[in-house]
Amino acid sequence: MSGRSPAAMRKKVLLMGRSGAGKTSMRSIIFANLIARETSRLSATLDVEYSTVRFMGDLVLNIWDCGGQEVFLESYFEAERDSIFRDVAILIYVFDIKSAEVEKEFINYERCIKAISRDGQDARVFCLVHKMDVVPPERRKVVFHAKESEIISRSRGLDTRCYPTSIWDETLYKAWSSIVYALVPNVEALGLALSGLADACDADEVVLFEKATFLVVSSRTRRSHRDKHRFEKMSNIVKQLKLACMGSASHLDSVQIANSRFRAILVPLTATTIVMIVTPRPGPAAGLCLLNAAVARPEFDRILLHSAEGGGAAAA
Amino acid sequence: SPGWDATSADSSRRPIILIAGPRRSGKTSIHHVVFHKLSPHETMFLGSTAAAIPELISHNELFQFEVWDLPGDYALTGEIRLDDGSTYTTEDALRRCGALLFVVDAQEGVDDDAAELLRDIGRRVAAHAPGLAVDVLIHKIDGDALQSPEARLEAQADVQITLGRALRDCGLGGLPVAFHASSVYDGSVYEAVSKVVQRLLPQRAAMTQMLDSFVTVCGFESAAIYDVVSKIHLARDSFARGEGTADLVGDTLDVVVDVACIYTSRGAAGQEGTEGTQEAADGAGAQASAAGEEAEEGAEPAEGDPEVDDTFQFDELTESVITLQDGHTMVLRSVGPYMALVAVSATPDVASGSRLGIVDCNVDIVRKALHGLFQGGAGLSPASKSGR
Ligand SMILES: Nc1nc2c(ncn2[C@@H]2O[C@H](COP(=O)(O)OP(=O)(O)OP(=O)(O)O)[C@@H](O)[C@H]2O)c(=O)[nH]1
Ligand SMILES: Nc1nc2c(ncn2[C@@H]2O[C@H](COP(=O)(O)OP(=O)(O)O)[C@@H](O)[C@H]2O)c(=O)[nH]1
Ligand SMILES: [Mg+2]
Repeated sequence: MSGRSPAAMRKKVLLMGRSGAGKTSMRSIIFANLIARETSRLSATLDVEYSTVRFMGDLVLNIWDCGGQEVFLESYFEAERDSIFRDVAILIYVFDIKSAEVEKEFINYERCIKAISRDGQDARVFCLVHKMDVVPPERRKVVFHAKESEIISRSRGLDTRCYPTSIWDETLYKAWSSIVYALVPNVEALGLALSGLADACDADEVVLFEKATFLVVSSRTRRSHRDKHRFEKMSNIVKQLKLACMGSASHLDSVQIANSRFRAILVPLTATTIVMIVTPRPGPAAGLCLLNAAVARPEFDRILLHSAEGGGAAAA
Repeated sequence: SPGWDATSADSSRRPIILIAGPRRSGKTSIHHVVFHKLSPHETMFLGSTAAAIPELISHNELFQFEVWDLPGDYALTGEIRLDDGSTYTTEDALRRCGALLFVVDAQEGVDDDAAELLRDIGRRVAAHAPGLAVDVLIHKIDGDALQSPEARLEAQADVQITLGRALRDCGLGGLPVAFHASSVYDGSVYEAVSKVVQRLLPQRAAMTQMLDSFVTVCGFESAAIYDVVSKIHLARDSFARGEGTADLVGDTLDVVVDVACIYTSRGAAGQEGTEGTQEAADGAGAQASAAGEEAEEGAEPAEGDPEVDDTFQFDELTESVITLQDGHTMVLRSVGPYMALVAVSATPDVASGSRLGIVDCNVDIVRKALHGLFQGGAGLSPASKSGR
């Protein structure tokens, strides 16, 4: 436990769905800093595109982005079946709401589910009902629920989560935060540490974001808030700013925003995380929050290092 | 539009900004993105404009005008039919006109019809509003075919040469015409509209001077005063050192407004001390039930209501400091109703305790001076009779 060689914890993530469903777009926006409107220039994924992303430092995601064209599908389920569906931690299946071949997609989905459960592994399944922006706002709920119940009924009893997504709004961050949340070890310890920080600052709430993706890792709320989607909205908003800064050849460091009712402070916490502290106004001074964040830093460092080692050992 | 008649007492003195141009060139998009905060990609759903849509912009005393989004291909002949059924003679509209935007699609270039349209409009301007400048927006400059700087320059030059020649050919060579490249996908549309609106602002010179001394005294690289609702800058210091960060300042305004909107609109709930257990756990959709429920609501429209009053939680205590790793620091302070001063420094020390105190003292001076300018009562005025 005292050693300083955090064995990376590898997790295999399968990304599936028909060609043009938006798999590469989402992956590139979340992990490779692509801007939403640049996705129209992506070309179709041929066969499997492997990418490795580091998340929270020591969690390594091996993302298998499986091109959805017919020719490749056959070989995924036949010749390549063993290599593709072995050791999958997470299956993300992307349903394109614009697709006209609904039944065909479900058949492919069922084949994926079958292939995954046949190996008796406990992979988690996330289904993203994607491109929701093309559905008129007042119909989104109905359309999503219809799709969701169909998906669940065809998931062979496997634990399946469904999320409506679009690259054009914060729903993308909601879904992907939930996905990585399933992978990050030690979330309980992180939550406890966040509680401590929130108390020390007398904060309304404290949220931990991963630095590169701005996905939400954990949060603590001390005073309730009406807007349930605020965290993913924050992810979306700050990620846009981060990209804008990169456009002008620098990197975002910290953000403070206040008016007569609140103050929000976003500062780097550990090397791989950013913390947001929201306090009421009038309330504690900004300096006090910054000080408390600095004091809490070693504890978070320890938890994150610890989780990498613990997880690494378990996986070995 | 609500409030259209609210200040009708002096409505005849409020300048109009007319947006004209060929069909589908992006007129309505520009109007909605700049004045309604519509996301650029959502402009794809906009339908064709059948009747002119007038819009009163009135966030504070300084910044009052009307924007009329005209139907495509409309050459300012006969009467202008507004979407509320009323009509207006083009002569009257032109007499009140402070600026005329002529929007063309840079991807398509200008054809004979577009040139003819500008000629027709030019003739009307020359007849009824002599001296009025026409601002040509070379729009959609973000187009896929215009990715390289060379292609952009070429497209811009094409438009300028074709339209310039068209005007000269019919004896309108003397018409003052300015060209601006623009796109709703980046800061360029705000830059273009800002330049146009600023010409209508008699106080601009005074504001520029004020910003010059603010920048000098506080050691900033640049500073500007923005209308936060539209992201139009009313004035900017004259040292022109802030070129590289102009877009970033626009993004800063977005972030401040969006975050304030999220964290100011807490519900009637707001009870103290519910030591976050149930809420805390669903932070990242941890619980099965929570994830299901939240996904359900995720299907609802994500965008907030575009009405200004609901979303703009901008008050006299609004402030922000954003720092970059290379040391650049942006300081934003409220200086009036929906007016923000945004200053950029190349070094982070302006945001440190004692320096920030000095900055705030000087912001206060700017705030008071602006208030004085308001009291003068003279807001924007039609360029054609700026003396009143
Ligand atoms: N690429 C790109 N497309 C744009 C831009 N601005 C507008 N568009 C698109 O251009 C199309 C037409 O936009 P509108 O704003 O409806 O055009 P309009 O000039 O009001 O059209 P009419 O009312 O019919 O005359 C829409 O599909 C917009 O999405 C831009 O800056 N870049
Ligand atoms: N309207 C809309 N289009 C999207 C969305 N996500 C991706 N797209 C578009 O869908 C097309 C195909 O995306 P891509 O990521 O290459 O699909 P893949 O084959 O599944 O990897 C691209 O043109 C994207 O711009 C979305 O949420 N909404
Ligand atoms: Mg229109």
